[in-house]
Amino acid sequence: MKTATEQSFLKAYDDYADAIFRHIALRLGDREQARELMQDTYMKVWQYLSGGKTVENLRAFLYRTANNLIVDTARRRKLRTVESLEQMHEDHGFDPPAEEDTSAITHIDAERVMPILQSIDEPLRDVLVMRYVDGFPPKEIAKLLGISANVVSVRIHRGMEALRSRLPHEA
Amino acid sequence: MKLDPALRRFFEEASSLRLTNSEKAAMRRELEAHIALGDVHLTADELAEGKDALVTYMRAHPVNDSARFTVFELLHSFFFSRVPALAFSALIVVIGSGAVVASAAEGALPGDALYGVKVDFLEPLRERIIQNPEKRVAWKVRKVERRLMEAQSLQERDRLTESHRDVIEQSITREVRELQDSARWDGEEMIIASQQVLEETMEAVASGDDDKATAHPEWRQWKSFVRERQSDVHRSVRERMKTAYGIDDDAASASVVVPKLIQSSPVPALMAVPAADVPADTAIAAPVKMMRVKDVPSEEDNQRENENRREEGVEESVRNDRENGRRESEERLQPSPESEPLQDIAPQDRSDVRKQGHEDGMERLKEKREHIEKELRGLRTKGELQAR
Repeated sequence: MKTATEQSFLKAYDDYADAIFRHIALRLGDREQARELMQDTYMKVWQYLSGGKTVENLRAFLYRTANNLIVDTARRRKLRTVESLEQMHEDHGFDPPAEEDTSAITHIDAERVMPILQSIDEPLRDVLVMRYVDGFPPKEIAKLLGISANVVSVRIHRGMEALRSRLPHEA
Repeated sequence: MKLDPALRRFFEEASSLRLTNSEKAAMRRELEAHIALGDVHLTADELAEGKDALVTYMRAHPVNDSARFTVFELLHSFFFSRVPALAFSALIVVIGSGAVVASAAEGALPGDALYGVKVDFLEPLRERIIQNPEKRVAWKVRKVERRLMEAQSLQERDRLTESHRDVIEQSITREVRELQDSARWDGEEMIIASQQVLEETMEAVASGDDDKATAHPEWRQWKSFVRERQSDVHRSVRERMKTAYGIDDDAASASVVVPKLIQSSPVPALMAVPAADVPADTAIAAPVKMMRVKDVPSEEDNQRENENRREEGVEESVRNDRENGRRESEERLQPSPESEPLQDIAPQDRSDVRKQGHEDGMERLKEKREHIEKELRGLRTKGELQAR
Protein backbone atom coordinates (compact mmCIF):
# COMPACT_ATOMS: atom_id res chain seq x y z
CA MET A 1 0.00 0.00 0.00
CA LYS A 2 1.51 3.25 -1.04
CA THR A 3 0.63 6.73 0.02
CA ALA A 4 0.24 9.55 -2.44
CA THR A 5 3.55 11.02 -1.32
CA GLU A 6 5.32 7.75 -1.94
CA GLN A 7 3.78 7.44 -5.35
CA SER A 8 4.69 10.91 -6.43
CA PHE A 9 8.17 10.44 -5.03
CA LEU A 10 8.71 7.21 -6.94
CA LYS A 11 7.33 8.83 -10.04
CA ALA A 12 9.89 11.57 -9.57
CA TYR A 13 12.50 8.85 -9.47
CA ASP A 14 11.29 7.31 -12.73
CA ASP A 15 11.09 10.68 -14.39
CA TYR A 16 14.23 12.41 -13.20
CA ALA A 17 16.70 9.77 -12.00
CA ASP A 18 18.52 9.75 -15.31
CA ALA A 19 18.64 13.50 -15.54
CA ILE A 20 19.91 13.90 -11.99
CA PHE A 21 22.47 11.18 -12.54
CA ARG A 22 23.65 12.81 -15.74
CA HIS A 23 23.85 16.17 -14.07
CA ILE A 24 26.02 14.84 -11.27
CA ALA A 25 28.16 12.66 -13.52
CA LEU A 26 28.99 15.48 -15.89
CA ARG A 27 29.80 17.86 -13.11
CA LEU A 28 31.94 15.45 -11.13
CA GLY A 29 33.30 13.42 -14.04
CA ASP A 30 32.81 10.19 -12.18
CA ARG A 31 30.12 7.74 -13.09
CA GLU A 32 30.27 5.58 -9.98
CA GLN A 33 30.18 8.50 -7.64
CA ALA A 34 27.34 10.00 -9.62
CA ARG A 35 25.29 6.87 -9.07
CA GLU A 36 25.86 7.05 -5.35
CA LEU A 37 25.12 10.73 -5.12
CA MET A 38 22.00 10.35 -7.22
CA GLN A 39 20.76 7.80 -4.73
CA ASP A 40 21.77 10.00 -1.80
CA THR A 41 19.87 12.84 -3.40
CA TYR A 42 16.68 10.82 -3.51
CA MET A 43 17.17 9.52 0.00
CA LYS A 44 17.61 13.01 1.33
CA VAL A 45 14.59 14.28 -0.50
CA TRP A 46 12.59 11.35 0.81
CA GLN A 47 13.67 12.14 4.36
CA TYR A 48 12.41 15.62 3.85
CA LEU A 49 9.10 14.51 2.41
CA SER A 50 8.56 11.80 4.98
CA GLY A 51 8.95 14.45 7.66
CA GLY A 52 5.61 15.79 6.49
CA LYS A 53 6.98 18.57 4.34
CA THR A 54 5.65 19.42 0.96
CA VAL A 55 7.76 20.59 -1.91
CA GLU A 56 6.34 22.83 -4.53
CA ASN A 57 8.60 21.90 -7.37
CA LEU A 58 10.06 18.49 -6.82
CA ARG A 59 12.34 18.67 -9.81
CA ALA A 60 13.95 21.91 -8.72
CA PHE A 61 14.22 20.58 -5.20
CA LEU A 62 15.99 17.47 -6.45
CA TYR A 63 18.48 19.57 -8.36
CA ARG A 64 19.06 21.77 -5.37
CA THR A 65 19.70 18.81 -3.13
CA ALA A 66 21.99 17.27 -5.72
CA ASN A 67 23.83 20.55 -5.97
CA ASN A 68 24.43 20.61 -2.22
CA LEU A 69 25.78 17.08 -2.32
CA ILE A 70 28.03 17.89 -5.25
CA VAL A 71 29.42 20.91 -3.46
CA ASP A 72 30.08 18.80 -0.37
CA THR A 73 31.78 16.12 -2.40
CA ALA A 74 33.91 18.58 -4.28
CA ARG A 75 34.93 20.15 -0.99
CA ARG A 76 35.84 16.78 0.45
CA ARG A 77 37.89 15.97 -2.62
CA LYS A 78 39.82 19.16 -2.25
CA LEU A 79 40.32 18.36 1.39
CA ARG A 80 41.88 15.05 0.48
CA THR A 81 44.53 16.59 -1.64
CA VAL A 82 45.79 18.17 1.54
CA GLU A 83 46.95 15.12 3.48
CA SER A 84 43.99 14.73 5.79
CA LEU A 85 43.68 12.28 8.62
CA GLU A 86 40.84 10.65 6.83
CA GLN A 87 43.06 10.10 3.84
CA MET A 88 45.75 8.52 5.96
CA HIS A 89 43.16 6.30 7.50
CA GLU A 90 42.07 5.17 4.09
CA ASP A 91 45.54 4.60 2.80
CA HIS A 92 46.52 2.53 5.82
CA GLY A 93 49.62 4.45 6.62
CA PHE A 94 51.84 6.67 4.62
CA ASP A 95 52.44 4.47 1.64
CA PRO A 96 52.70 6.57 -1.45
CA PRO A 97 49.43 6.52 -3.29
CA ALA A 98 49.00 4.18 -6.21
CA GLU A 99 48.47 5.52 -9.71
CA GLU A 100 45.39 7.63 -9.77
CA ASP A 101 42.35 5.52 -10.36
CA THR A 102 40.80 6.47 -13.65
CA SER A 103 38.88 3.27 -14.18
CA ALA A 104 35.64 4.93 -13.30
CA ILE A 105 36.00 7.39 -16.11
CA THR A 106 36.91 4.83 -18.77
CA HIS A 107 33.65 2.94 -18.87
CA ILE A 108 31.52 5.92 -19.18
CA ASP A 109 28.72 5.99 -21.71
CA ALA A 110 29.57 9.26 -23.29
CA GLU A 111 33.27 8.57 -23.46
CA ARG A 112 34.36 11.44 -25.61
CA VAL A 113 32.51 14.03 -23.66
CA MET A 114 33.71 13.45 -20.13
CA PRO A 115 37.43 14.23 -20.45
CA ILE A 116 36.77 17.36 -22.46
CA LEU A 117 34.21 18.58 -20.00
CA GLN A 118 36.47 17.80 -17.07
CA SER A 119 39.25 19.88 -18.58
CA ILE A 120 37.07 22.96 -18.19
CA ASP A 121 37.18 24.81 -14.89
CA GLU A 122 34.55 23.76 -12.43
CA PRO A 123 32.42 26.92 -12.23
CA LEU A 124 32.27 27.17 -16.01
CA ARG A 125 31.57 23.47 -16.41
CA ASP A 126 28.72 23.60 -13.92
CA VAL A 127 26.81 26.28 -15.76
CA LEU A 128 27.42 24.63 -19.15
CA VAL A 129 25.95 21.37 -17.90
CA MET A 130 22.98 23.13 -16.38
CA ARG A 131 22.37 25.29 -19.42
CA TYR A 132 22.87 22.90 -22.31
CA VAL A 133 22.34 19.45 -20.83
CA ASP A 134 19.76 20.04 -18.13
CA GLY A 135 18.24 22.87 -20.14
CA PHE A 136 17.83 25.39 -17.34
CA PRO A 137 17.48 29.05 -18.25
CA PRO A 138 20.22 31.26 -16.75
CA LYS A 139 17.83 32.67 -14.19
CA GLU A 140 17.13 29.26 -12.71
CA ILE A 141 20.81 28.40 -12.72
CA ALA A 142 21.44 31.57 -10.79
CA LYS A 143 18.87 30.51 -8.23
CA LEU A 144 20.25 27.01 -7.95
CA LEU A 145 23.82 28.13 -7.46
CA GLY A 146 22.99 31.18 -5.43
CA ILE A 147 24.81 33.58 -7.71
CA SER A 148 23.53 36.41 -9.86
CA ALA A 149 22.11 35.82 -13.32
CA ASN A 150 24.77 38.11 -14.68
CA VAL A 151 27.54 35.94 -13.36
CA VAL A 152 25.81 32.92 -14.86
CA SER A 153 25.66 34.51 -18.29
CA VAL A 154 29.29 35.50 -18.11
CA ARG A 155 30.27 31.98 -17.12
CA ILE A 156 28.20 30.43 -19.88
CA HIS A 157 29.91 32.69 -22.35
CA ARG A 158 33.38 31.90 -21.06
CA GLY A 159 32.56 28.23 -20.81
CA MET A 160 31.49 28.11 -24.43
CA GLU A 161 34.70 29.80 -25.49
CA ALA A 162 36.70 27.28 -23.54
CA LEU A 163 34.71 24.40 -24.90
CA ARG A 164 34.97 25.59 -28.48
CA SER A 165 38.73 25.80 -28.23
CA ARG A 166 38.89 22.24 -26.98
CA LEU A 167 36.69 20.65 -29.60
CA PRO A 168 38.38 19.31 -32.71
CA HIS A 169 37.46 21.47 -35.66
CA GLU A 170 35.18 19.68 -38.02
CA ALA A 171 34.34 20.73 -41.48
CA MET B 1 20.05 29.50 -28.83
CA LYS B 2 22.47 29.22 -31.72
CA LEU B 3 25.09 26.56 -31.36
CA ASP B 4 27.54 25.59 -34.00
CA PRO B 5 27.26 21.96 -35.08
CA ALA B 6 30.31 20.72 -33.21
CA LEU B 7 29.07 22.12 -29.95
CA ARG B 8 25.58 20.86 -30.55
CA ARG B 9 26.86 17.37 -31.18
CA PHE B 10 28.94 17.61 -28.06
CA PHE B 11 25.98 18.41 -25.86
CA GLU B 12 23.84 15.81 -27.57
CA GLU B 13 26.45 13.25 -26.69
CA ALA B 14 26.59 14.54 -23.15
CA SER B 15 22.83 14.32 -22.87
CA SER B 16 22.88 10.70 -23.94
CA LEU B 17 24.59 9.73 -20.71
CA ARG B 18 22.20 7.70 -18.61
CA LEU B 19 21.89 4.82 -16.22
CA THR B 20 21.43 1.36 -17.60
CA ASN B 21 17.98 -0.06 -17.11
CA SER B 22 19.17 -2.60 -14.59
CA GLU B 23 21.04 0.05 -12.58
CA LYS B 24 18.00 2.22 -12.51
CA ALA B 25 15.71 -0.62 -11.49
CA ALA B 26 18.10 -1.82 -8.78
CA MET B 27 18.32 1.61 -7.23
CA ARG B 28 14.59 2.00 -7.38
CA ARG B 29 14.22 -1.21 -5.40
CA GLU B 30 16.68 0.09 -2.84
CA LEU B 31 14.75 3.30 -2.54
CA GLU B 32 11.51 1.44 -2.07
CA ALA B 33 13.11 -0.66 0.63
CA HIS B 34 14.41 2.49 2.25
CA ILE B 35 10.94 3.99 2.21
CA ALA B 36 9.41 0.88 3.72
CA LEU B 37 12.04 0.29 6.39
CA GLY B 38 13.34 3.72 7.16
CA ASP B 39 9.96 5.08 7.99
CA VAL B 40 10.78 6.03 11.53
CA HIS B 41 8.24 8.24 13.19
CA LEU B 42 9.21 10.16 16.28
CA THR B 43 6.64 11.32 18.73
CA ALA B 44 6.23 15.03 19.12
CA ASP B 45 7.80 14.93 22.55
CA GLU B 46 10.91 13.23 21.33
CA LEU B 47 11.16 15.74 18.58
CA ALA B 48 10.74 18.55 21.00
CA GLU B 49 13.52 17.45 23.23
CA GLY B 50 15.72 16.59 20.34
CA LYS B 51 16.43 13.49 22.32
CA ASP B 52 17.64 10.46 20.48
CA ALA B 53 17.24 12.36 17.27
CA LEU B 54 20.78 11.71 16.20
CA VAL B 55 20.59 8.09 17.22
CA THR B 56 17.52 7.55 15.14
CA TYR B 57 19.09 9.31 12.27
CA MET B 58 22.15 7.14 12.44
CA ARG B 59 20.09 4.01 12.76
CA ALA B 60 18.18 4.91 9.67
CA HIS B 61 21.42 5.49 7.77
CA PRO B 62 23.92 2.98 8.97
CA VAL B 63 26.52 2.80 6.21
CA ASN B 64 26.06 5.56 3.74
CA ASP B 65 27.06 8.38 5.92
CA SER B 66 30.81 8.64 5.72
CA ALA B 67 30.71 12.24 6.87
CA ARG B 68 30.10 11.30 10.49
CA PHE B 69 32.82 9.57 12.35
CA THR B 70 33.65 9.82 15.98
CA VAL B 71 36.95 10.92 17.37
CA PHE B 72 37.22 7.50 18.89
CA GLU B 73 36.85 5.77 15.55
CA LEU B 74 39.42 8.07 14.11
CA LEU B 75 41.95 7.37 16.82
CA HIS B 76 41.16 3.71 16.82
CA SER B 77 41.65 3.25 13.13
CA PHE B 78 44.72 5.41 13.30
CA PHE B 79 46.51 3.53 16.03
CA PHE B 80 45.57 0.15 14.69
CA SER B 81 46.51 0.80 11.13
CA ARG B 82 49.96 0.08 9.86
CA VAL B 83 51.60 3.36 10.63
CA PRO B 84 55.37 3.21 10.64
CA ALA B 85 56.94 4.66 13.76
CA LEU B 86 58.97 7.24 11.91
CA ALA B 87 55.96 8.50 10.10
CA PHE B 88 54.16 8.68 13.38
CA SER B 89 56.70 11.01 14.93
CA ALA B 90 56.64 13.02 11.72
CA LEU B 91 52.92 13.33 12.22
CA ILE B 92 53.42 14.82 15.66
CA VAL B 93 55.66 17.47 14.17
CA VAL B 94 53.12 18.10 11.44
CA ILE B 95 50.31 18.42 13.95
CA GLY B 96 52.39 20.74 16.09
CA SER B 97 53.19 23.09 13.27
CA GLY B 98 49.65 22.62 12.07
CA ALA B 99 48.38 24.19 15.27
CA VAL B 100 50.42 27.29 14.58
CA VAL B 101 49.12 27.51 11.04
CA ALA B 102 45.62 26.83 12.24
CA SER B 103 45.57 29.65 14.72
CA ALA B 104 46.96 31.99 12.11
CA ALA B 105 44.41 30.81 9.59
CA GLU B 106 41.45 31.55 11.86
CA GLY B 107 41.65 35.23 11.04
CA ALA B 108 42.30 34.83 7.33
CA LEU B 109 40.22 36.64 4.74
CA PRO B 110 39.43 35.63 1.16
CA GLY B 111 42.52 36.28 -0.90
CA ASP B 112 44.85 35.44 1.98
CA ALA B 113 47.05 32.43 1.57
CA LEU B 114 45.61 30.78 4.65
CA TYR B 115 41.97 31.34 3.78
CA GLY B 116 41.79 27.94 2.12
CA VAL B 117 43.08 26.34 5.28
CA LYS B 118 40.41 28.09 7.28
CA VAL B 119 37.48 27.29 5.04
CA ASP B 120 38.35 23.97 3.48
CA PHE B 121 40.20 22.39 6.32
CA LEU B 122 39.62 23.86 9.75
CA GLU B 123 35.92 24.49 9.45
CA PRO B 124 34.99 21.08 8.03
CA LEU B 125 37.22 19.48 10.64
CA ARG B 126 35.48 21.34 13.39
CA GLU B 127 32.12 20.47 11.93
CA ARG B 128 32.96 16.81 11.98
CA ILE B 129 34.11 16.86 15.53
CA ILE B 130 30.84 18.37 16.71
CA GLN B 131 28.58 15.48 17.55
CA ASN B 132 25.72 17.20 19.30
CA PRO B 133 23.11 18.11 16.67
CA GLU B 134 22.22 21.30 18.50
CA LYS B 135 25.81 22.44 18.52
CA ARG B 136 26.01 21.56 14.86
CA VAL B 137 23.14 23.85 14.05
CA ALA B 138 24.71 26.65 16.06
CA TRP B 139 27.94 26.09 14.24
CA LYS B 140 26.18 26.48 10.91
CA VAL B 141 24.83 29.83 12.02
CA ARG B 142 28.26 30.75 13.25
CA LYS B 143 29.78 29.93 9.90
CA VAL B 144 27.45 32.33 8.17
CA GLU B 145 28.35 34.96 10.74
CA ARG B 146 31.99 34.39 10.03
CA ARG B 147 31.39 34.93 6.33
CA LEU B 148 29.48 38.10 7.05
CA MET B 149 32.34 39.38 9.15
CA GLU B 150 34.83 38.52 6.46
CA ALA B 151 32.91 40.51 3.91
CA GLN B 152 32.85 43.43 6.26
CA SER B 153 36.54 43.28 7.02
CA LEU B 154 37.28 43.11 3.31
CA GLN B 155 35.10 46.11 2.68
CA GLU B 156 36.86 48.07 5.38
CA ARG B 157 40.18 47.32 3.76
CA ASP B 158 38.85 48.11 0.29
CA ARG B 159 39.47 44.57 -0.75
CA LEU B 160 35.95 43.43 -1.49
CA THR B 161 36.31 42.36 -5.12
CA GLU B 162 33.80 40.47 -7.17
CA SER B 163 35.64 37.20 -6.89
CA HIS B 164 35.98 37.44 -3.12
CA ARG B 165 32.36 38.36 -2.82
CA ASP B 166 31.50 35.38 -4.99
CA VAL B 167 33.40 33.02 -2.73
CA ILE B 168 31.71 34.33 0.39
CA GLU B 169 28.28 34.41 -1.19
CA GLN B 170 28.47 30.86 -2.38
CA SER B 171 29.48 29.71 1.04
CA ILE B 172 26.61 31.55 2.71
CA THR B 173 24.13 30.26 0.19
CA ARG B 174 25.29 26.74 0.89
CA GLU B 175 24.86 27.04 4.62
CA VAL B 176 21.48 28.69 4.30
CA ARG B 177 20.28 25.98 1.95
CA GLU B 178 21.55 23.25 4.21
CA LEU B 179 19.66 24.73 7.10
CA GLN B 180 16.56 25.01 4.97
CA ASP B 181 16.84 21.46 3.77
CA SER B 182 17.64 19.92 7.13
CA ALA B 183 15.42 16.97 7.75
CA ARG B 184 12.83 17.31 10.44
CA TRP B 185 14.23 14.90 12.93
CA ASP B 186 17.35 16.99 13.28
CA GLY B 187 15.24 18.85 15.81
CA GLU B 188 12.62 21.07 14.32
CA GLU B 189 12.74 23.79 16.95
CA MET B 190 16.48 24.03 16.75
CA ILE B 191 16.32 24.54 13.02
CA ILE B 192 13.62 27.17 13.28
CA ALA B 193 15.29 28.95 16.16
CA SER B 194 18.67 28.99 14.52
CA GLN B 195 17.20 30.36 11.32
CA GLN B 196 15.52 33.08 13.29
CA VAL B 197 18.80 34.05 14.89
CA LEU B 198 20.40 34.00 11.50
CA GLU B 199 17.66 36.11 10.01
CA GLU B 200 18.26 38.83 12.56
CA THR B 201 21.96 38.91 12.04
CA MET B 202 21.45 39.15 8.31
CA GLU B 203 18.90 41.85 8.78
CA ALA B 204 21.42 43.79 10.82
CA VAL B 205 23.93 43.56 8.00
CA ALA B 206 21.49 44.25 5.20
CA SER B 207 19.88 47.27 6.79
CA GLY B 208 23.05 48.70 8.25
CA ASP B 209 24.14 52.23 7.60
CA ASP B 210 26.76 52.78 5.00
CA ASP B 211 28.05 56.28 4.80
CA LYS B 212 31.25 56.21 2.79
CA ALA B 213 30.48 52.81 1.44
CA THR B 214 27.33 53.79 -0.39
CA ALA B 215 29.38 54.64 -3.41
CA HIS B 216 30.94 51.20 -3.59
CA PRO B 217 29.00 48.99 -6.02
CA GLU B 218 30.40 45.73 -4.68
CA TRP B 219 29.18 46.56 -1.22
CA ARG B 220 25.72 47.42 -2.49
CA GLN B 221 25.51 44.15 -4.37
CA TRP B 222 26.71 42.35 -1.32
CA LYS B 223 23.99 43.85 0.81
CA SER B 224 21.30 43.01 -1.65
CA PHE B 225 22.62 39.47 -1.67
CA VAL B 226 22.38 39.32 2.10
CA ARG B 227 18.88 40.71 1.89
CA GLU B 228 17.92 38.00 -0.58
CA ARG B 229 19.26 35.24 1.59
CA GLN B 230 17.57 36.77 4.57
CA SER B 231 14.22 36.56 2.87
CA ASP B 232 15.00 32.94 1.99
CA VAL B 233 15.57 32.25 5.64
CA HIS B 234 12.44 34.10 6.58
CA ARG B 235 10.40 32.05 4.15
CA SER B 236 11.88 28.87 5.46
CA VAL B 237 11.03 29.83 9.04
CA ARG B 238 7.46 30.50 8.01
CA GLU B 239 7.12 27.24 6.16
CA ARG B 240 8.52 25.26 9.01
CA MET B 241 6.33 26.95 11.58
CA LYS B 242 3.37 26.22 9.43
CA THR B 243 4.11 22.53 9.21
CA ALA B 244 5.21 22.19 12.80
CA TYR B 245 2.54 24.20 14.60
CA GLY B 246 0.02 25.05 11.94
CA ILE B 247 0.83 28.71 12.31
CA ASP B 248 0.48 30.51 9.04
CA ASP B 249 1.07 33.98 10.29
CA ASP B 250 3.94 36.27 9.68
CA ALA B 251 3.33 38.10 12.91
CA ALA B 252 3.57 34.91 14.88
CA SER B 253 6.84 33.83 13.35
CA ALA B 254 8.24 37.20 14.23
CA SER B 255 6.49 37.84 17.53
CA VAL B 256 8.46 35.81 20.00
CA VAL B 257 11.70 36.30 18.45
CA VAL B 258 12.23 39.23 16.20
CA PRO B 259 11.65 42.58 17.79
CA LYS B 260 10.76 45.02 15.05
CA LEU B 261 13.12 47.77 16.06
CA ILE B 262 16.18 45.71 15.71
CA GLN B 263 15.00 44.70 12.32
CA SER B 264 14.59 48.18 11.05
CA SER B 265 17.42 49.97 12.77
CA PRO B 266 20.96 50.17 11.70
CA VAL B 267 23.05 48.22 14.12
CA PRO B 268 25.98 50.40 14.96
CA ALA B 269 28.01 47.67 16.54
CA LEU B 270 28.21 45.67 13.39
CA MET B 271 28.61 48.42 10.90
CA ALA B 272 30.80 51.00 12.55
CA VAL B 273 33.42 49.16 14.55
CA PRO B 274 36.66 48.93 12.63
CA ALA B 275 37.77 45.35 12.48
CA ALA B 276 41.29 46.21 13.54
CA ASP B 277 40.31 47.48 16.98
CA VAL B 278 37.85 44.89 18.04
CA PRO B 279 38.06 41.15 17.56
CA ALA B 280 35.73 40.27 14.75
CA ASP B 281 33.73 37.99 16.95
CA THR B 282 32.56 40.52 19.45
CA ALA B 283 31.19 42.90 16.87
CA ILE B 284 28.59 40.56 15.59
CA ALA B 285 27.60 39.43 19.01
CA ALA B 286 26.19 42.84 19.71
CA PRO B 287 22.82 42.58 17.98
CA VAL B 288 22.18 39.29 19.64
CA LYS B 289 22.94 40.74 23.03
CA MET B 290 20.57 43.56 22.44
CA MET B 291 17.96 41.05 21.52
CA ARG B 292 18.34 39.17 24.68
CA VAL B 293 17.61 42.12 26.85
CA LYS B 294 14.00 41.91 25.90
CA ASP B 295 13.63 38.25 26.65
CA VAL B 296 14.84 38.29 30.17
CA PRO B 297 12.53 40.42 32.31
CA SER B 298 9.17 39.40 30.93
CA GLU B 299 9.61 35.74 30.46
CA GLU B 300 8.81 34.47 33.90
CA ASP B 301 5.85 36.72 34.27
CA ASN B 302 4.53 35.47 31.01
CA GLN B 303 4.74 31.91 32.04
CA ARG B 304 2.76 32.55 35.20
CA GLU B 305 0.24 34.62 33.36
CA ASN B 306 -0.23 32.04 30.71
CA GLU B 307 -0.98 29.38 33.19
CA ASN B 308 -3.63 31.42 34.91
CA ARG B 309 -5.49 32.80 31.99
CA ARG B 310 -5.01 30.65 29.02
CA GLU B 311 -6.94 32.40 26.36
CA GLU B 312 -6.26 36.02 26.89
CA GLY B 313 -2.92 35.46 28.45
CA VAL B 314 -1.44 34.59 25.14
CA GLU B 315 -2.33 37.79 23.45
CA GLU B 316 -1.48 39.82 26.44
CA SER B 317 1.91 38.34 26.96
CA VAL B 318 2.81 38.51 23.33
CA ARG B 319 1.96 42.16 23.38
CA ASN B 320 3.80 42.77 26.62
CA ASP B 321 6.76 41.09 25.21
CA ARG B 322 6.69 43.14 22.13
CA GLU B 323 6.26 46.38 23.94
CA ASN B 324 8.98 45.61 26.39
CA GLY B 325 11.24 44.84 23.50
CA ARG B 326 10.34 48.07 21.87
CA ARG B 327 10.97 50.20 24.91
CA GLU B 328 14.22 48.52 25.71
CA SER B 329 15.44 48.78 22.19
CA GLU B 330 14.46 52.37 21.83
CA GLU B 331 16.65 53.28 24.70
CA ARG B 332 19.58 51.65 23.05
CA LEU B 333 19.19 52.50 19.44
CA GLN B 334 18.17 55.58 17.62
CA PRO B 335 16.11 54.27 14.78
CA SER B 336 17.28 56.07 11.72
CA PRO B 337 14.56 58.11 10.05
CA GLU B 338 15.08 56.72 6.58
CA SER B 339 14.97 53.09 7.55
CA GLU B 340 11.62 51.57 6.79
CA PRO B 341 10.04 49.10 9.12
CA LEU B 342 9.43 45.85 7.36
CA GLN B 343 5.77 45.91 6.52
CA ASP B 344 5.33 42.24 5.93
CA ILE B 345 6.42 41.34 9.42
CA ALA B 346 4.29 43.89 11.20
CA PRO B 347 1.79 42.27 13.51
CA GLN B 348 -1.70 42.88 12.25
CA ASP B 349 -3.86 39.84 12.49
CA ARG B 350 -3.50 37.78 15.60
CA SER B 351 -6.47 35.52 15.07
CA ASP B 352 -4.19 32.61 14.32
CA VAL B 353 -2.09 33.24 17.35
CA ARG B 354 -4.55 31.48 19.56
CA LYS B 355 -4.28 28.27 17.65
CA GLN B 356 -3.76 25.07 19.52
CA GLY B 357 -0.18 24.16 20.05
CA HIS B 358 1.00 27.61 19.30
CA GLU B 359 1.72 28.54 22.85
CA ASP B 360 3.69 25.43 23.60
CA GLY B 361 5.53 25.73 20.36
CA MET B 362 6.44 29.31 21.07
CA GLU B 363 7.69 28.50 24.52
CA ARG B 364 9.81 25.72 23.22
CA LEU B 365 11.09 27.84 20.39
CA LYS B 366 12.08 30.54 22.79
CA GLU B 367 13.92 28.04 24.88
CA LYS B 368 15.72 26.60 21.91
CA ARG B 369 16.57 30.04 20.75
CA GLU B 370 18.25 30.91 23.97
CA HIS B 371 20.05 27.65 23.70
CA ILE B 372 21.30 28.50 20.22
CA GLU B 373 22.46 31.89 21.35
CA LYS B 374 24.30 30.34 24.23
CA GLU B 375 25.98 27.90 21.90
CA LEU B 376 26.85 30.73 19.57
CA ARG B 377 28.43 32.73 22.34
CA GLY B 378 30.50 29.70 23.20
CA LEU B 379 31.59 29.32 19.61
CA ARG B 380 32.46 32.97 19.37
CA THR B 381 34.67 33.01 22.43
CA LYS B 382 36.43 29.89 21.25
CA GLY B 383 37.10 31.58 17.95
CA GLU B 384 38.53 34.59 19.66
CA LEU B 385 40.82 32.53 21.80
CA GLN B 386 42.05 30.66 18.79
CA ALA B 387 42.76 33.82 16.92
CA ARG B 388 45.21 34.94 19.56
